[in-house]
Amino acid sequence: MDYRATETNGQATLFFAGELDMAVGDRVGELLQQYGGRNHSVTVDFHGVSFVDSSGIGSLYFTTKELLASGKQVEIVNVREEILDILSVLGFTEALGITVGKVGETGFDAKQRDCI
Amino acid sequence: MILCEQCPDNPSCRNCLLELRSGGSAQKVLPPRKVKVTELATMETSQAQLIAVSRTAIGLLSPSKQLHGRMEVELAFDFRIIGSGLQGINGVPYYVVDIEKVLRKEEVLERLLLEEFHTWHLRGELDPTDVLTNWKDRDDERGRLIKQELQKLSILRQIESIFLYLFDDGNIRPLGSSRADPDVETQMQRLINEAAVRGAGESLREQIVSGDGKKVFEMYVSDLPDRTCGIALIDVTAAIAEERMRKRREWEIYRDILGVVTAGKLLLLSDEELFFLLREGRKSLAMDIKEPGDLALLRRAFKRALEPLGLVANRLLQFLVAVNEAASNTLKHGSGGTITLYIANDLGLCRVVIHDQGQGILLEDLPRATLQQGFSTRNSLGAGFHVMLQYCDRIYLSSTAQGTKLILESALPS
Repeated sequence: MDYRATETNGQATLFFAGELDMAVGDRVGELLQQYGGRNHSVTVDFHGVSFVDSSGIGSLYFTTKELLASGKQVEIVNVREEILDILSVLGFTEALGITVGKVGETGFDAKQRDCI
Repeated sequence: MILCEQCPDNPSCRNCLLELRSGGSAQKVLPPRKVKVTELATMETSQAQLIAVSRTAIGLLSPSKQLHGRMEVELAFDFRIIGSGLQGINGVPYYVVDIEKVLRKEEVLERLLLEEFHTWHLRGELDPTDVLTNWKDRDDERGRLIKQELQKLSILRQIESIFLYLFDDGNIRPLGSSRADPDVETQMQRLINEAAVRGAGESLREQIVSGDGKKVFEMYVSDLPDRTCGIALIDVTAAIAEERMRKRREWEIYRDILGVVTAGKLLLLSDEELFFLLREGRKSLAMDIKEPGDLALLRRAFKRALEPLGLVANRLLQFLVAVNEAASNTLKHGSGGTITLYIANDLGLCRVVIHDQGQGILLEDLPRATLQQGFSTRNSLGAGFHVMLQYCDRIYLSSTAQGTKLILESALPS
């Protein structure tokens, strides 16, 4: 799985691409913790995410919950229709009560990325 | 907080149970059991009394030695608990051991099965050692009294036959008029002779199966001080059959409930039923999962194998998500497993078998493990089964202490 991050005036955006499963779930949670810890709000761009499961999303879920509890803003945008369906079945969106946007414009640039 | 002086016999005292921090599931051990404790850091051994149990912790009274760190608690040679101990109640030699592993016969479990513990504990009452230790007069009247004492034990009321014998000068003679079949007595004689050759001083417990294979006996031999021994031979055939029937009935109730609650989508299967189910299909692909990095390879391989079957893209992704969830579970709860694809074109369906050799799912945990979202002890959403139920047409499950077999089924486009 790949990611890229931008930070501007207390606003971070994390762009993820690839498959979010047990192998990378903890690392994704750590990245959200890292950028969420030093910014007021974090946008997680899921446009490049082509697969999620309960193990992969678990760490992201618990980190998001912690950030929300500490007063930070978190939103997930650009989620593909089929991924949104999986998140819905997992109860992810409902349990967190955050904005999860469907796919639209993405800022992910495949040339500027790091591997998880 | 103090530990009641009468504990654990005072029914209203719950101090030892509260320290186990197991909610309402903790139970006293009545009567307390002597256990051998080995501190694993020093390998020093000591005796303690087991006075309280729960699924996740046990309580020990150890006046002679302070218990700290990791230790092995030996209830019997085939029943050991490994855990970490700490002082339970200040000023009282009461220690709580948090269970890490339960070694029970060939099984290794993460928690204590209370039902099995109590079955074992009650069976322990059958050991006539305590009654026979002070046996001095080897006459039939004494045997009758011993039998009378043994009959007071509640469990013996459920046992059809108990035979008592005395071993003296190399010969076995029955106490009273009833005796077991000759072939059983012959086996009994052989075992006692072998024990005598190995040396006296130890109690012996063996299981004997009758020559025709129709009866099972538990034999308890207790050495007496004067180089003789007392023998209790108990016919446990009916008890074993009844226990098997009870477990089967319990399993059937769980199967029916899960079937009804999921509208027939989740079905428990016996190993035999599972065997015949898989014979309906053709084995198409098999992969082993040993680490999280294997999951991506699994998804790709199964996608390639399933694509030609005509599943639309979204349906294919959903089925792969379900297979992936089941495969991930084998890593979360064990050391991986084998994932096999069967295709049954005649029936218009495909089935994926996820087989792990973990500890299995306890029958009592099945409803929560399969139906309740968030039921997970690991860092995940605990929604794996929920996803499988949503994304599969049917799920078959067979779980024993030797492992779990899960079959995910999807209809194929006609």
